[in-house]
Amino acid sequence: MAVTSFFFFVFLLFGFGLFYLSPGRFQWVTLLFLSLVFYHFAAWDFSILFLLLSAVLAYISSNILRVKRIAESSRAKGCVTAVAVIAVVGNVLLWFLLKGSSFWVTGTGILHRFLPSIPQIPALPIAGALGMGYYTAQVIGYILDCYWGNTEPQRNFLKLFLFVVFFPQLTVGPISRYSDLRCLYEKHRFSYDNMCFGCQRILWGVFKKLVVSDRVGIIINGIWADTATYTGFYPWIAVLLYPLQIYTDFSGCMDIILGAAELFDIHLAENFRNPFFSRSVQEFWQRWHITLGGWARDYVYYPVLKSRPVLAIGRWSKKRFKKNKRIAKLIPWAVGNGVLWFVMGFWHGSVQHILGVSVWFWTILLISEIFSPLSVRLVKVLEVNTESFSWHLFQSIRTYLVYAMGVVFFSAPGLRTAIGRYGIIFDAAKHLNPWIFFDGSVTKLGVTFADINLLIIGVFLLFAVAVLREKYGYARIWMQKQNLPFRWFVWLALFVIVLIYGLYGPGYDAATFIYEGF
Amino acid sequence: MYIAEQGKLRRIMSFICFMCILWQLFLNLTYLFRNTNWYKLNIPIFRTEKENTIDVVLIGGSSVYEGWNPLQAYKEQGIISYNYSVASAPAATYIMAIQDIKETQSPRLFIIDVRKFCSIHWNTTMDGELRHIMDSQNINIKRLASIEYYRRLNDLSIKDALSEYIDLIYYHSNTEALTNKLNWQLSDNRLESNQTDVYFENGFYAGTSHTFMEQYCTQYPVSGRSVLQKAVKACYVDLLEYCQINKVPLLLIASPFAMTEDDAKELSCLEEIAREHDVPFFNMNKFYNDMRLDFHTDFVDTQHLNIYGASKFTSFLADYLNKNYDLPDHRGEPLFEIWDKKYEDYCKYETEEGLKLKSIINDKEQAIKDELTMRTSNNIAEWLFLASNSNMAMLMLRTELSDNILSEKSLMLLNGFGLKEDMLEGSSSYIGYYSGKSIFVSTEEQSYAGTIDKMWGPRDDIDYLISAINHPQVCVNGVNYYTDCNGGVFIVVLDINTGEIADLAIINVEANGELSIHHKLIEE
Repeated sequence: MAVTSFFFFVFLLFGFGLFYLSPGRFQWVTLLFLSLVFYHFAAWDFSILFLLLSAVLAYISSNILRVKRIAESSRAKGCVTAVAVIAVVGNVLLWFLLKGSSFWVTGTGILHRFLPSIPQIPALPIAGALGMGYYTAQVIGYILDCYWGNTEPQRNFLKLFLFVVFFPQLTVGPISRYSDLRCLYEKHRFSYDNMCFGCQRILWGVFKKLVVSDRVGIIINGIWADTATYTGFYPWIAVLLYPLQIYTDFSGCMDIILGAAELFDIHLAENFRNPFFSRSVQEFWQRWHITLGGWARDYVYYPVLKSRPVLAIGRWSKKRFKKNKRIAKLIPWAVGNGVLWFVMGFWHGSVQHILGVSVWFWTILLISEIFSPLSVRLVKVLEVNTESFSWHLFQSIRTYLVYAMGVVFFSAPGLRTAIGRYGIIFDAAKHLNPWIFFDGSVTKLGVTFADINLLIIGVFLLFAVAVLREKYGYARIWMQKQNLPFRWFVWLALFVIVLIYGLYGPGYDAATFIYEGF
Repeated sequence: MYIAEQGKLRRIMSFICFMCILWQLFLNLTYLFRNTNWYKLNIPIFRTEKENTIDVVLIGGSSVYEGWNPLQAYKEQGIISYNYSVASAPAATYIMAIQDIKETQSPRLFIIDVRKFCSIHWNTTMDGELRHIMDSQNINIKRLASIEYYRRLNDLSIKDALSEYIDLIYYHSNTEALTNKLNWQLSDNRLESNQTDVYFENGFYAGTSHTFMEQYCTQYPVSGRSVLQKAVKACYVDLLEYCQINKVPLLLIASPFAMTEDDAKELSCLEEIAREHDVPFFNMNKFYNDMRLDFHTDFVDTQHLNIYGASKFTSFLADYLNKNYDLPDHRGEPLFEIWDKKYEDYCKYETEEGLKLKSIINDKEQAIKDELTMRTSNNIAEWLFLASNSNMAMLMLRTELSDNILSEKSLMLLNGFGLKEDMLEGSSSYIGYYSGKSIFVSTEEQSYAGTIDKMWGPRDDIDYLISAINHPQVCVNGVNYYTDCNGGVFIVVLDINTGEIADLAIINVEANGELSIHHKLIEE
């Protein structure tokens, strides 16, 4: 059951009614029931055992932590650490076996090529659970929070299981913190505003996914499917459009999920905040997939920075580069960031993602950090007004381009294809064909001029909403201040556009989201 | 407190209003984007009929709207009727049709053509039949229930079911609809009959084409009873029981068609079940002679009557209704004066179309006579004239190159019939298909296969293959024809009305450049 399917919306309607008809203290049971029903329709039933196993690990470990924490002895403290490590490693291993198989299949494959005595290990013949990357991260966060004493462990296993299996966020996140989802167990009263906001957000998400993302996807897939024919500027079109596709796909899905949760008076963490308005790559990752970045920062980056080896590196670099404080600071920063980016890439579950996320962005950040004094000086020498719109625009375009170039790894089905695509992109200079923008060639990629016009309107709308969001926090807050006829007109028009121009129904497969596989 | 309550009430009202607008918008978009083929228009037009004015409603597929002429029935017997029929409307939707009719009309009699219960018409191809009738229905529970019933009855998989229930899912990409005036007129799923170019008066579509038919089943009643399919029987019994429970005045008919013995057996079976349920059953295929139905002139194809046939069928059935049912005679009533005017217009239309149809029939009859002349003619010009008639198709094959060159006179002769010199000169191989305006010629292709819609005969087409590979031959419906042409072109002439071979001939170029023709015995 994809979140853009008709059945999901019917399910949501049914769940919405059932939830508010349930007595307050049993509403969380209703949510658990709905989540299990959703799982039954969305994934292979048997795979729920993996969720159960993760939840059991988290439940047992967190409650051992609770009991042991009370004891003050050093032995108990050692036990607490051991339990936390075992629980975290157990979850990571489970994920690695089922979702991270690409690493050991590729790894043993390479080893086998050079050392034939080492056997090539195939992937396990079992499918991983739905949203395994997301809930594993949540569970690890929960265990670590319990270990650090940031949160009180949940004593009711079913309540903890609801935290893991909560249906709107199960497929593509966001990666929620336990402390943020305590509201799952509270009593919720029906709110007209929540209902309206939830529906509006779902509609906006469906627009992004079915009208914009899937249309852009047709162009991109058409180009990459026949790179022998589509040379010159074509691969560049695919490269430059892909961020738009992945953004509208992922953030559209997020809007549906956040809107669905809002119907139940549950406000999940935001995953996007106008990422293409970012002036730097660093800022970009504070606005893009925010919950993953936040999770990696809190559970990986900070602990790594505080770890003994990194502190030792810091002390060493301070001594070694006494005269150059910047370099002395840069080295531990680079190590900490290296681990952070590695985990971010690793979480995506394949070697190509490690290259596309970890290596690419870590390198870019390192370069920009190294050259930042130079760029500051250059800006001064050239007397650039850094507060002007044009400078902001330049920085945003630069960030977009950097992201677009890195994310080519995402768009490819495999590492070899991804590397091949870079070859095609840089080979484009030999086949320059600017006329394709004027002679209607683009319409041979499976889209019509009407589709292209629609995309332009769609991008304009996205931009307008993004501007309103920057200004008001949420575009809907601005919308709420408008007069009723205008509000109704906007929502009805959006409804009609989605209904007519959404790519759904027989012949279309809008069921999958790019970020659904993680 | 009061203000809070007032605010709450305002919100509820506003929510209800918004949802109503949303729903209406959804409905209008659904109707706007639907496929508006002419054969689906009967039902939207029915909705514009004045309420409770129709005494008889006929339900069925295309056999109904091409058979029963309400204007003629009015003129002859004073019956006010309407054809609630859509092409290929599945029998499983007839209960829904009755319910839909009863929303605006209170007919004294429902007539259902049972031919859709015969196995040959029990087609479950989703897009082909169910959509035809569902595309003209209002979005409501009845429609959903009927689709569900149809799917359950035919044990159809769940795949694409949603796009049947909510047809906007299927049609939303049909943005061409936005450019079509008719689609906009149908955006409330209602249509005035004068808003369409197609001749539709009270649901009658006048068939103005023709096919020579044969009476396949000559003995009736047939011996033996065929067993109806389980789903067919269930559907039929459900319909009869529904009408009994809801006291729907029902007459079952089987309108005339080129019935086979299997069809006849199934109709007998249906008649027996109807009798068991005390429902009158009128199989009009038993009364060809009483109707004066002529299989040679009165059919569009095996399943449909043309204007001649429709006139005879209507007259006969209207007379039957008059004798057996207490239906009021509305002639002369002010409310139906317009029907007199419409009938006058129809008569003019019928006369014009009838003359055209007569000419077509004469042409075809002449073509059959000409076949004899063609087979014995040695005059190349005369032969080409007869073979290039629109009732014939020429399948041509040459596999060797002739040494002789066409004379100027011969070339002009060929050109006169739309044929070119490459038929006899140039590349060593030549394959061609020639039928009236349609022509295919190739000196490069080594084979060509096609199908001709057979105009005469039961439910099959003429498949042919012209091949220059290995054993050069022309194959028609699995029968091979070949000959040694010695550089000439081998031509198989087919009568496309009958599917019969009209002539086998070889045209050669003589040493003097003149054309010669040699007839071959038809051989396999």
